This record gives sequence, C-alpha cells and structure tokens, in this order.
Amino acid sequence: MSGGMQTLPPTQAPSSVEYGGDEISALVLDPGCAWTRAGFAGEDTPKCVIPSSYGAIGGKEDSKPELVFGDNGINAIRPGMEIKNPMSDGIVADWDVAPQLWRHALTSRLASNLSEHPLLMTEPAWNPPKNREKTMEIAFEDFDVPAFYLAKSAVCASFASGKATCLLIDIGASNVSVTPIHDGFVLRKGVTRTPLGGDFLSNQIRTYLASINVPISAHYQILSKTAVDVGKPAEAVLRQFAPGQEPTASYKTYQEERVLTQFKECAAQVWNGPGPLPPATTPGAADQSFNFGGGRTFEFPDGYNLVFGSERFRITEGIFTPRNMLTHPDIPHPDPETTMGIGSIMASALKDVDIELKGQILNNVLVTGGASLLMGLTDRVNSELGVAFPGPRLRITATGNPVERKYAGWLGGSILASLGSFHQLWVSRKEYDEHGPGIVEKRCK
Amino acid sequence: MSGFQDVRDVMDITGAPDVTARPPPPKKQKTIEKRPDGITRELYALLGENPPPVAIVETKFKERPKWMGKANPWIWKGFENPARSDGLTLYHWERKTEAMDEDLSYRFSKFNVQVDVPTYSDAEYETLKNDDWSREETDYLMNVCREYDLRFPVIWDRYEFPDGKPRSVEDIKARYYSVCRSLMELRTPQNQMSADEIVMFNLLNFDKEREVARKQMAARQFARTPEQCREEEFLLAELKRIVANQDKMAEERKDLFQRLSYPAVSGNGSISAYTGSQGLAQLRDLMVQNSDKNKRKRSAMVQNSADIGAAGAGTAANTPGGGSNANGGAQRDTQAVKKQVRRLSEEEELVFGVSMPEKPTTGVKLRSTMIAPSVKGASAQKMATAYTQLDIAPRLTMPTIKTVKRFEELQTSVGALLDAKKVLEKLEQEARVLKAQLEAKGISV
Repeated sequence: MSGGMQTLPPTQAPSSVEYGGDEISALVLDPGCAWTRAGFAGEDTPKCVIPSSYGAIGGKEDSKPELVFGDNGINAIRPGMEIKNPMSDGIVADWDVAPQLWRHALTSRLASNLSEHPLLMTEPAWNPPKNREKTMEIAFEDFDVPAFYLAKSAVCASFASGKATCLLIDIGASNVSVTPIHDGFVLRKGVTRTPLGGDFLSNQIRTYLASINVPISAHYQILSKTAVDVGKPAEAVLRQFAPGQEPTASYKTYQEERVLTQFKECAAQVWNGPGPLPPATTPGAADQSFNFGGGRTFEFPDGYNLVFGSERFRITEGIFTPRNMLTHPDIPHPDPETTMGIGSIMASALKDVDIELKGQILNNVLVTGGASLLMGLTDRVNSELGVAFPGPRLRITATGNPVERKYAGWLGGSILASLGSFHQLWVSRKEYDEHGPGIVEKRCK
Repeated sequence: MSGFQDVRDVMDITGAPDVTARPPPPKKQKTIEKRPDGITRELYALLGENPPPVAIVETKFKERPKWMGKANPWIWKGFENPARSDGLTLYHWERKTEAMDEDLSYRFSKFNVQVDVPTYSDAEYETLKNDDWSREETDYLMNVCREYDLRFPVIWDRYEFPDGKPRSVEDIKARYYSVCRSLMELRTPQNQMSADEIVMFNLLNFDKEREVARKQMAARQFARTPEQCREEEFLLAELKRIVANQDKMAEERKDLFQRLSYPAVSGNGSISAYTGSQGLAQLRDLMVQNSDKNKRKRSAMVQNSADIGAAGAGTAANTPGGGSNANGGAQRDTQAVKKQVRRLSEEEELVFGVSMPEKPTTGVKLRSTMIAPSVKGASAQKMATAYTQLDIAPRLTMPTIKTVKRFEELQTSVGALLDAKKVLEKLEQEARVLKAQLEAKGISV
C-alpha cells in the first residue's frame, strides 16, 4: 500500500500465493491527540476520522454535561460549549470521555453492533501498563467486542510502509517521537519523544503573530468580508452575539487552531539545512541572512492578509533547534534550553540499539504523522540525520501521499487485522474472562 | 444477462423477487433508423441523407463473455483457527462450494511456527550450573527466548530480571547457547551424534570474546567522522595506485633482465660448448627462442643484433629451418647466378655499387629510405635529440651500402644506450626511495 509499490487494479484479484488476507470485518481504531481514526480492517483509508476534541455543553453543578463529538458537533456555534480534549501526550488522560469518543468514532458510521466485530486499537509506545489494561477492559466490558488486540502505532506505521525493521519518526500533534523497530518489535530502550509537534508549532505561530500585533480571527466570527490590500486593516462584518450567547474561550481557541492549521499548510516552511537557520541579521529590517525564495501571502478569515518572508522559516526552526524557538510570556512553550530537537532525539534513540541493527535501522528511516507534511521537513530531517550519523548509509522514506502519511498508524493496523496469519493473536473474550485485563502485557507485546 | 439476478445469486437469496419492490424502469423504446453496419451512430447522424462516400471497414470488438449458469453464492461463515487454544470463532465470507461441509483446517494455521527452545529437568540442570547465572534467571532467560522467538536484540531490550545483573546481548547469547550445547551433549553423547547433529552441535558453539571484539570493531566503524571516511577513501585510492605502479615496475624490470640475459652456459661459464659449428647453431636456436618468448615487447636491440648477426655470419635469423640449411640455400642461389652472369670481384662490386640483397624489393627506391627505422614515436624523438648531442646529422648525406650499414649499427647502439639510460634512472630512483624509507626507519645507510 505504500506509495512506491505498484497497486493492483481493483478489478483484479490478488493471486492466492501472495495474498495473505482474510477479512473478518474487524474494526481498527487509532486514537491520536488531534484526530481519532476508525475504519474497517482491510481498507486503505479510515472511513471515520473525527477530531479527538469534544464539546461539553452545560453541566455546571450536579448535572452531567452533554457531550458532542465529531466535526459537525464541535464546530457548530453553541453558547456555553467548552471544547476539551481527553488525550494528553498521545495517551488517554480523561477515562470518562475517551471511551465515549471511541464509541462515537466506531458506531456513528461504521458498525451498529460492536459485539460482532473484533477490534484492533493502536497505542503509543510509551503507553503505561495501567492504561493498556484499562483500554482492554473498556473494549471487553464497555464495547463487548468478541476479540481485541492492542498494537503499537509505531509498529503499525512501519508495517504500512512494508518495513519490519526501521526507525520511525512520527511527527504528531502533541509530540515528535522516534521509535527504533526490529522485526515488528519496538525497541523500548530507544523510544524517545520531544514535545515539539503540531501544537508546539501552532503556539510558535501564535507567538510570532503576537509579536507583530496581528490578531487571529476565526471563520465563525466573520459574516462577510471584502478584499483588502496586503497589510491594510480588515474590512469584515463580524457576527454579533447576544449577551450570554457567546461561544466560550475554548471554542474560540479551537477555531483559531483551525486557522493556524491552514497557516501551517500554506505558509510555514522548514529551512532545509545543513545546520541551523542562520540568525536574523538586523531585527526589524528585511532579513537578508539566507535565501528564502520570496514571500508567501496568507489571508486570515477576516480578509486581512500579509506576506511572510523569512518568518515562515523562523516559526518552524524551534522543532530542530529548540534554543531558537520564539517565546512570549503569555503563550506556553517548552523550556528552550532543556528540550531536545529532532536531531538530538534521533541520536539518543539509537544510543541503546545493538550495533548490528544500527546500520539496518538507519537504512530504513520512515517519516510519518500529519505535521511531517510541513514543507521541506523531510529534507531537514535527512540533513539532521546526516549530522548525527555521518558514517553509515542513510535512506529516508516518506510517502508522498498525504493520506498515507497522516493515517500511517491506522493503515498498518488495517493491514495487520486483515491478515489471515494475524487471527491467532487476537485476545478473545474467553481468554479475557479467564486471565483478566493483565493478559494484555502477555499478549500484546 | 441480469445484474439484478446475479446479486441475488451471490447473496444466495431464493424465491420470487419481491413484487412490491420497485419495478425496473421501463426501457426507453428508441426508434433507430436503419443504418448500415460498421458506421457509428454519431457518424451516421452527421452524414444525413447522403450515402457514405467510402466503404467503412467494420471493426469487431471482443465478444461478451458467456456466463455459465448462476453466479456463485458467498456465505458468512464462522471458522476456528487450530493455532488458537481458546476456540475463538471468527467470521468471514466464503464461497459456497461442494467441499464446504467437510471440515477443512484453517489455511493460515500453517504459519503458526514456534521456535524450539529446549527445556530441562532439575537433574539436567545440575550440569548447566553456572556461578554467574542462577537457576531462576536461567529459567527466565529461556522463557524470554521462547517468547520473542530468539530475536536477541529484542530479548536484550526487554530483559528485566528482578534484582539481576545488567546483561549484554553477548552475555545472554553465551548463556543460551551454552545451555543448548550442554543439553545436547548430555542427551546424546558426542560420539553417538548423527552428522546433522554434529553440525548443529558445532553451530551452538558461541565465542563470546570474539563476538565482543567484533561488535567493538563494528562500533568503531560506525562512529567514523566524515573526515575519517574521506581519509579512508583517499588512502584506499593511494594504495591502489601504488600497487599498480609496483606491478608496472616489476614488469619493466623483468623485461630488462630478459634483455640482458644470455642463454645459460652449462659448466664453468666457458664458451667452449659453442665453439663448434653444431654448438653455434644450438646457440642461435636458443637466442631465437629467447627473442620469441619476448615477442610482444621485442626490443629493437635484439632484432638489430640478430640482423647484424645475419649480415655478419651470413645466416638469416628469420629463417626458421636451422642455420646450416639456410646458409647452404643462399650459397646455392649465388652459384645459380654465377652460371649466368660474369661474376664481379669484390672491388668491382664496391666500385659499381652492386649488391646482392637476399630479399629483393620491387620497384625503385632510394637507399636512404631503406634504413630500417629502429624506433618509433617518443623514442624516435629522444633519438633525434641524442643525435644532435653527438653532433651527428639524423640523415645520411651519401647513403652508400657501407654508410647505411654503419648508420644502422649506430642507430642500434644509440637505442641501446637510451634504454640503458632509462633503466638506470629508474633504478636510481628506486634506490633513493628505499634509502629514504630506511632513513625514516632510523637505520643509517
């Protein structure tokens, strides 16, 4: 399924020799920090991708808040709806909401009766045993699935690229993680991560915009707008809210986040190296320290637009050289001195790997995750890798298909759960009843 | 052929179709004007009333496949995987066939392969005792090996024996293989083992020290800096060059020795063996052989000396049939000439400039052009320089037989001189290099 492979036309059945699939209508759920992906095993794209954030309406005193999930639920303008996220650092933080979110992802579009479908879920490599047991408990007690398996998302992502031994660099929303994998097993001693993912990038953009006093507008605030020249004040008709009917601050933040996502897609770019981005020559004046190939215009929802030049590179540089990250007293950011950049976590990930595997692993470096779609990021990762490991042969693979890049973990899970030889690995209800949730440590390695 | 009926067949739905179901939309009755075969409708419409001006060749498409009978139905069928012990029933779609009712074993269960990790009894453990490894830790090790199918890097990564020593991959491997080896020897003494078993037994011999040294070397290789990589490449290229140079030099030296050598003299080095006519013939044969051996690089010296020899002794070096015969032949020829014409005395021959060439050439030529050019190319240039140094004109002003002969001799000796000079220079250079090497080693010469 990886981009490099020749795909079979849909009309032609795979030959029985090479086709190891046996589809049992299993469900695959890949919960992430920003998005929760669900779909049927054996398919090449998740059918249901919903934001991991949810809306909580009401529930001020004793009453429980009403929860809404999915794009349509949380993006609607509702008075008093707080947007929250049950995940933190890739793992579940709120165990009351996460199962409801998962149930919504699985049942809203895919299956009405979860007891008919085996379920494969993914988890980050640093998921603590308590959480793993809890996940299994929810699958069997709450969802009542006939069989369950918990796979490491890094391993799944490597399977999605058809590799069993690799170094997986996953650039997600909450963090960047580097995982060495040998023969489909995560080498636990090498799992490293740094909180410099998509959310960090959003805050860097916020910091930059705050430093030049540009407010971020969100789409819901705008009723209509007129085109204005670059740098001219916006001329937009704003939506007015009756007192008490305004959306909450968390809703506003979430909506702003969507604009920032657009900014990342349209304007942000990574300096391609080698070495860190040269520092700006004179603050305020036009930056001549490097050739950034012209500016790019970004238009905010209210019509205000600006051309971004070298700043496009400054906002992303923090991922590689945290020392140079932009800071603002009101916007949270990790410590610039102690946080490790991607280059250093790649180096430390391989420190505790057997010398014999290092060469093989460095020859199969995979880059996945939504934030890895940042323009120029793969080239920079390549050059950082070259700095960290000058001797051995390096080969970096990043599929050009954005769907495969964003949903690599889910895709690998989908492949795994549709393989005939995988079906002996499921933890069945009977085994769960016999051994309890502790069986997850024994079976899902 | 009805697609509707096919779907019903695949889903195995029998009985009359539901009458209440929406009837298929009535087929539109098209009134098509009769048009000749082989013309597409569009083209025909363009033609209007007029008949086609040219005959159109009818193109025939592949015939539609004929479906034999009903489409095969598929059924949602439960199956059990013999690789599982809990009897979990999973469901998949299967094509309905005759053999369906027979209990076919699951086709993917054959992939359930387990690694054979030996087990031992308490009595057997007595021989496996090791001061460094407790019984408990050995048991733990064997379990982990089984669990991770002898993937030693993974085993090392996950190795967590409570209160145990830190173990390296080599420690783990050494212990595992020593246990396997000892058990094998214990169960079948070495002299009773079959050939395969002996091979296996020898394979289990794990040399820990060697492995550690190998890993260290690999680590050093891995940790090379780019400068070291470049230097290594440079040194390799240099080595290649030196070796090639040395080969060339050896070749040239061999060539020289061959040139200087004379046929081995038996006995005490006297020339008595070659004094008789038979001895002389033998000597000539030997010399011809020698020059043949070196044909590829036949030097001007050898050739010319042979020519001179032929001119002086009246023997033809290039006649293969032995000296005395050729000599006799030449004499016979001159006798035949003597019968027809008056024989000139030697003085007369000199005066009239008459010569009896052995191989007369056709046509009229100047004698000066008959001088054999002994060398070509760069050496000719050198020779010309040598002539100027010696104050000799490179061309004869009066090429008589005598002068031509002398000039050829001169040419040969100058050639030999130049060759000798070249070799001398080479040897001097070699001597200098060796001297410098000795000095570098601190040995005074």
